[in-house]
Amino acid sequence: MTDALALHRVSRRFGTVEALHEVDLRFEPGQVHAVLGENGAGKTTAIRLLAGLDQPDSGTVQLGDTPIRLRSRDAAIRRGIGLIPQTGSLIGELTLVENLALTQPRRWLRRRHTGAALAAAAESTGVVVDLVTPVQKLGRAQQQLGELALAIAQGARILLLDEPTSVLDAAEIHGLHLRLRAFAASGIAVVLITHRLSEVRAIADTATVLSRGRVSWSGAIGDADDVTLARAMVGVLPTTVPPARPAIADAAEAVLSLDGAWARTDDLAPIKDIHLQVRPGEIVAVIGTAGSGQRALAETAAGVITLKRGTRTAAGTVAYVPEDRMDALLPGLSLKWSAALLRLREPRFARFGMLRNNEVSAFARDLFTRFDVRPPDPDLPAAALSGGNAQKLVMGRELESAPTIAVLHAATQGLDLRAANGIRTLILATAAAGTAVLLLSADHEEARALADRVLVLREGRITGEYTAAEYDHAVHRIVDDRPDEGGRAC
Amino acid sequence: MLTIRGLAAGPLRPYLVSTLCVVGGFAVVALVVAATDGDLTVAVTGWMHGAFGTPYATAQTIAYATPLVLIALGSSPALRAGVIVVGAEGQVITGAILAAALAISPLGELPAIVALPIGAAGGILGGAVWSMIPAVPLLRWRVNEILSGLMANYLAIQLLAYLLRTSMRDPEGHSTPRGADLPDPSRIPFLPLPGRLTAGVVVVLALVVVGIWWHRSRAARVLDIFAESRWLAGRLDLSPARAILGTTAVSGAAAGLAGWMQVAGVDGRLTPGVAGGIGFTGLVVAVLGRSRPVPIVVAGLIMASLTTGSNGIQLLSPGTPASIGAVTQGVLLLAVAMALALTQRNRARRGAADD
Repeated sequence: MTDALALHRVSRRFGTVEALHEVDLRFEPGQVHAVLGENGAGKTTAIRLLAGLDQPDSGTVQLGDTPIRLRSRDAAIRRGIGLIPQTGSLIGELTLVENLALTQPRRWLRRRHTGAALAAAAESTGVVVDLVTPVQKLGRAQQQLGELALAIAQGARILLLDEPTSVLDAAEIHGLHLRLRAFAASGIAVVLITHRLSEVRAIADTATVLSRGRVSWSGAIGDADDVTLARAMVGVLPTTVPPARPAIADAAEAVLSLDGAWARTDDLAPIKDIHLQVRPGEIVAVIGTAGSGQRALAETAAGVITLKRGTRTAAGTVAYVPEDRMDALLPGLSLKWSAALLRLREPRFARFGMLRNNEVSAFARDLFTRFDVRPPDPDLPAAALSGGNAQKLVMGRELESAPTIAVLHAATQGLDLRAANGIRTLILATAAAGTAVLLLSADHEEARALADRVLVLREGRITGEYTAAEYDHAVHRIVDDRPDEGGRAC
Repeated sequence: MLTIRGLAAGPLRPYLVSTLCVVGGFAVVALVVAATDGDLTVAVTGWMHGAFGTPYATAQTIAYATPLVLIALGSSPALRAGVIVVGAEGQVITGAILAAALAISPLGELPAIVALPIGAAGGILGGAVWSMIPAVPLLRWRVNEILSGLMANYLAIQLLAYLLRTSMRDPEGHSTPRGADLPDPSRIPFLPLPGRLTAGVVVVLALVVVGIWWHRSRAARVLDIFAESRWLAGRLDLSPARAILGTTAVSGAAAGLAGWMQVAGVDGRLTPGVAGGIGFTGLVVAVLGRSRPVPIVVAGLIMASLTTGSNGIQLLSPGTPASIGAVTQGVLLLAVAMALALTQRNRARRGAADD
């Protein structure tokens, strides 16, 4: 039997920010334990401490009831602590077997032995995964299963998964959940970091909610309803009424249309023969996971890359929020320039041709307040913003000038409830004001909540088109197929 | 300790790092002087004497700094846009060739008020055209502008050598290849001061003022944005073609103008050594001055004083070789490059830590 892994009264501070304050966490073997929290609540810090990537300022990491010191990732691996980070940790050019060989402490390895160990681990856990293909040629879901098999082959008895479902589609999420339940049944402690309540409901036994570096709720998942958990995460949620949107006239002329569009970017996922139209005031969602050509489609629609074949017509100004927010910021300049970027040509920002820094700062400060960007310091380097705040800034900057067309890629990905709500309200309000919105997302919930029409993108082609109501049914069908309890879409 | 730490982490950090690097650089030079049995105080005194000790020396230093400052000013838009322009040496030569060709043509005999602008325009044109050799392939095929810029320098040197042996050779004939003397109306008048200061200094001073204005202008900021992200610059209506060709042409024009000042001012005729390394030294000045106009002037004067001052060192401390000036220039460049690398790495690390 494995011992429980725990944090005992752990504090960790970065500069002036207290990321964790006297936090107690305990993960029992054989259970799926969810760690919930907003962006910046301290989830990732806690996981890094447990995985040996960081050391606490005070308090201890405990295995069973013995305090242990994890000086490095290797030390944690030897203790049986496996980590599946959010962005993937495998080396794309190598196969899974080679990736495992890389992590072995011994200098001399026999490929056959390593391969056999990995195959055994995969088989014992029922993971079906290709061991001999370079990792980058596997799908994202396969890569993730591969990482799981790798962790098991390293002897992991505790699995830490950081936001594992953020890049998977509904069927893949379902598969992963089944796998995690099976791990738990075999006596492994599964720890799931997430900010999706529905996911917690679907597979977790127990949960701990972190809020601003403290534990705000802890217990068995059956004891709490969604409102309790949400409140523990963010405090009292303001009830938002979605802004009323005028109906879109069928006769309205599309302002953005792609006709037989073929294009590719550098991510090896081209789009093929895409036809789509977006009318003023309409929100069209394109659902697809990483590798389905979403980025190529977004950049094509936004006019960043040129088409190989086909035509694109766009009337008026085009706002674009790329998937990687940093692409839309100026990392080397202070934040105010990123904030005022689109309006820099306005006369108020210059006198005798020279820029007025004070005006730009004032504009930036105003934008930060309106879109809750923290810290609201216009002179900070843009690279210092956290992901969520960068997203709020880019979204606010792009949408506040009422563009004709808005192309939004992964609009709320990685945002906490409060911020995501804010962004969704902003998108609805923007569409209500007459902007044609093209939303690219991997998140069914988001598409359902926002879109008038939903297109499904698979391997670069549009394979399905639904109205909002039809899509509701389609998603429920996927969810109803689930054998496990809970049964809600993620 | 606390204050130093606070200072080191604060907004003044880049300045602190730069200062430390430059001080470290001078320490290395002091070691070199000591290693050659020189006396440091004597060397410094000699350097000050040689660079600024007499009105004549001061004028020489300023005269030497003038083309450096001009080239550095001209290259700063390109450097801000992220285009590394290293072709100034060749552009000085082609600017000088065209300016000299116009001056020894009948146009050069016109009154000075016409002949001088014609010569200046020739220099500007010659430099700007030559700067397109690296710029167009960079824009069209993404050819590395550093490599093609350096190649273009060799082309210019060989072109000059060819012309000085053939069509532009002084008809009066000399054993060394050189061009004909420029007619008087085409020569830039000397200022009524000791030394060999020409009116070109006034032109460069005016350009420094323009540079100070431009440095804070919207156009300059848009070029910064271009260096960070071409897509975002495109949303401010700056196309890669305009950014790359425009800034490179400005750098070429400035270098060509410097070429005109050399041929029509100091030298009075086209010679094989018309550029004499000022293209490269000008680029060093731009890097030292971090593409800002006032620091560029200071850096230009320092670089020039290292050349003029080394004669003074020789005078007072015969054991120390005159090439100590060149050594100092090299060490200084290394120190500044290090300071830049350090501050940038720190900025990147600070950004990553807050992620």
